[in-house]
Amino acid sequence: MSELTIDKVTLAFGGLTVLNDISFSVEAGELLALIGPNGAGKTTVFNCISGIYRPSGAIRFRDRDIVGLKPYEVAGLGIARTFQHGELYGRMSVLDNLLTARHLRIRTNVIGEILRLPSTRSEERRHRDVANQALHFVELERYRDTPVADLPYGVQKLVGFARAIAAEPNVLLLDEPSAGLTREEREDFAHYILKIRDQLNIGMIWIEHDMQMVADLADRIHVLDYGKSLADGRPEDVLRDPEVIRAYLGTQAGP
Amino acid sequence: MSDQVHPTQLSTVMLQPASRSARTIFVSALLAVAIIIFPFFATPFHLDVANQILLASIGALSLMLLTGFAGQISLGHAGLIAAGAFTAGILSKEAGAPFWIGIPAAGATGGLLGLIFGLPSLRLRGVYLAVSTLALHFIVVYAGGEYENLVGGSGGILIPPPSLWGLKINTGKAWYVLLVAGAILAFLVTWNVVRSRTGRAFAAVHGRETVAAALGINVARTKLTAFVISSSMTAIAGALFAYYRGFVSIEAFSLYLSIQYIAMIIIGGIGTLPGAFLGALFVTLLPYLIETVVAHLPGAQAMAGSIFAVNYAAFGLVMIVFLVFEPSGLVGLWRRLERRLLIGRQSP
Amino acid sequence: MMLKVQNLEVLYQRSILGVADISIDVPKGHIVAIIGANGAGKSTTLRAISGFIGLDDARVSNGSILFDGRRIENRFPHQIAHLGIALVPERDKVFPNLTVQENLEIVASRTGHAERRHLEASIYDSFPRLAALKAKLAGLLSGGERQMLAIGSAIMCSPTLLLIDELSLGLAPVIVDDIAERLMRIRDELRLTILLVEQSTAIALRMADYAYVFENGRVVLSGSTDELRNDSSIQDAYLGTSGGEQRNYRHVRNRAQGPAK
Repeated sequence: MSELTIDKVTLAFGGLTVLNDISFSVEAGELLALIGPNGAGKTTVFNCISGIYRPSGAIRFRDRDIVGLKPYEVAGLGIARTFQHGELYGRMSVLDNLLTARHLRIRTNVIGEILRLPSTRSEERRHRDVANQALHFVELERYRDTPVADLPYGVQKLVGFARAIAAEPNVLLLDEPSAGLTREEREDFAHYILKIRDQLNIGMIWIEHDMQMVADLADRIHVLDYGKSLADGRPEDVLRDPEVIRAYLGTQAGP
Repeated sequence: MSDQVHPTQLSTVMLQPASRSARTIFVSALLAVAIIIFPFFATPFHLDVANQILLASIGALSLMLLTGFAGQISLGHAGLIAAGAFTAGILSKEAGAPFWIGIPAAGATGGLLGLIFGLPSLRLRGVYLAVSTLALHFIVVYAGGEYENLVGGSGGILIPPPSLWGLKINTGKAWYVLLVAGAILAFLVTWNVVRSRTGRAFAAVHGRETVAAALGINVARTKLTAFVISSSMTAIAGALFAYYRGFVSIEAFSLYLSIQYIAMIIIGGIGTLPGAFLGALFVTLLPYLIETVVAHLPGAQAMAGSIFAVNYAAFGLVMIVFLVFEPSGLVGLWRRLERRLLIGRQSP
Repeated sequence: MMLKVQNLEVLYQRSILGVADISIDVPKGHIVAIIGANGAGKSTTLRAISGFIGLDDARVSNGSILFDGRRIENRFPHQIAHLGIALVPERDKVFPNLTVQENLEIVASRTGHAERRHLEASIYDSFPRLAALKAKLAGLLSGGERQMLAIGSAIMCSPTLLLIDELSLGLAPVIVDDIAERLMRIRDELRLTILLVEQSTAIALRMADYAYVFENGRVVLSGSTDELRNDSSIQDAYLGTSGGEQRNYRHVRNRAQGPAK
């Protein structure tokens, strides 16, 4: 069974059809790249999965239809995501940012927190350890206590990524993680993406504009164009597809 | 959050941790000594001012939690203070309830009101939410006024001084001790909330709600929690105020009071706990400062009548100056001075 | 030299350094590119030239910006626009609640009615897609169409120097190709000089005559694009090629240590 299945999903705002009969799925340990021009509906797909929009059709996590669940309920199933902009809390330290992703797993209540009971403290400590492991995974330990706003852009992007991992997700949605990064930082990112797939066996849907990254890393590519599925398959096939070249890649195509 | 990246800022941040904690300990120790020795040298007038500052600090901390951390703007703060004050006053007058009942009862009333008037926040944001919290203010003020009419006259309610463990709290010094303890307690409560799961959820909801929800945070519940905790604390501050003054009248709780509290958290520094104290200090002292200045001006006699107008104007001016030149408040000013000193020390 | 930036230093909030000691020359009729990662100071430099840093609570604290021999640092954006410098911003490119046509019409121009008609015709001529969308609200345009409109709006100021903050960001490769080609055509027609900030090194090197590489608020490298294309450090750090071979993302990482920064 697939980890996450998008089954004939359609979304319309007023008279405007934003997504038109989209279908694809991702397996555990699979890296699926979602590509297409701006406005093709890539981020909209993510918003449907995470419960911000309510499309028609089905979105299944394992065998459960999750359409209609609230965003925090979707997150509770272990579907984590990163955002393109503004996802981190600048004044909070890196570690506290990671801890926000553990909200659902931390079992403390307001009374215990106000009194800072021993049980509250030990629970906090336990989750701090998990967050530290996520930091270790992307090798950012040295920034643990730094407020995020004070970090260079490339490091901030990695913190957003680490936060998604800190949730210990089953499925990870990555929204343009490499945008604005240098080649070198992209290479680091590539390393961590592969490390997640291989060591944690998480299914990932990855929105990306860097076609070389996609060609080198993705297991499979799904192409969207103006809200429709245009192609789906292995990178070497999809990136040579004349339709995809016409609609998206243009002359600088090709891996 | 700023997505600009400033290299030098990074280097100063890296410099700070060690020296900063040492400085924090030093400043805290100094502060503790000052607080302890203050009553031995203070005149009754100074003690009264200090007690007002302490009361304001508790109210400012609770508004800071709601607005500064959870990002929910409220103009209902004076209404909540009034609700707490009247709860304590009415219980005392009608049932002769003692202090140790009046305070928790005020907290419960505040919490309940917070829950009800937090509901609009599930739909409204920013200015719209602020306007909806005005309703809270006017309803409480109306109810308080009706009660005053009912019991006859418009004299307000007299409350006898409280006693704790057989000790009567009826001197400036006794109040000072009680209010210092209260302010420390309020600080610990807010601090413990801010650095826990709930506090991180506040920050997340303040940042961006969709992102918070995607992290698994129940946004509605988080907002209501913020309203309940903050309103409960505010009402307790109101009850303390009533006991301190020994008298409650609805006139004391105008909209201007709400604006003063908003001024405290802005002038102190939004999103910081020390900012609540600094703001309370500043806003409470400002009228006294102005009075002193005006008294030394030539023709002071002639201006005595317009001192209130001068107060309002100066207050407005200070607000604008802070909003324009130092949006991060006194705490921001302090940090910037610190940073300048550090950079200065760095370069040979 | 049309634009000469000398030892530029920008401070945010009077204490935080944005860029330090930046010097850039933009000769008349040329396309000059600034390359670098996010946060390297590219946008800060462009906003310093166009006067917009004032809105970000920042100031030019040292150095000078000369446009046609005249100092223009720390002026208001509208004054700078009036001198003939127009900015295509990275964000908030268009007025979403106005139509395409209205977006072009509201631009305050430095020229007479006839010249305006001429510019408008050139824009619709170079970007026929915009002509087809004249009556559409700009908020409903796609990313590529917005970029075209933003370029059009800037050109309506009848500038001699066009500043572009990220041409390719977030756009599909096929769209970037199309816009770049049309931009080059309208530049030739109107004899524009262009200073381009670009994250994509490949696109910058393809379009520009000369480029500056920014890192951490400083210029670390500059040269004609022909020189830079053959520079091994550029190839290694920005193009991902080593020894003429494109490196594969799957195999690049052998470093034991974390990210370089």
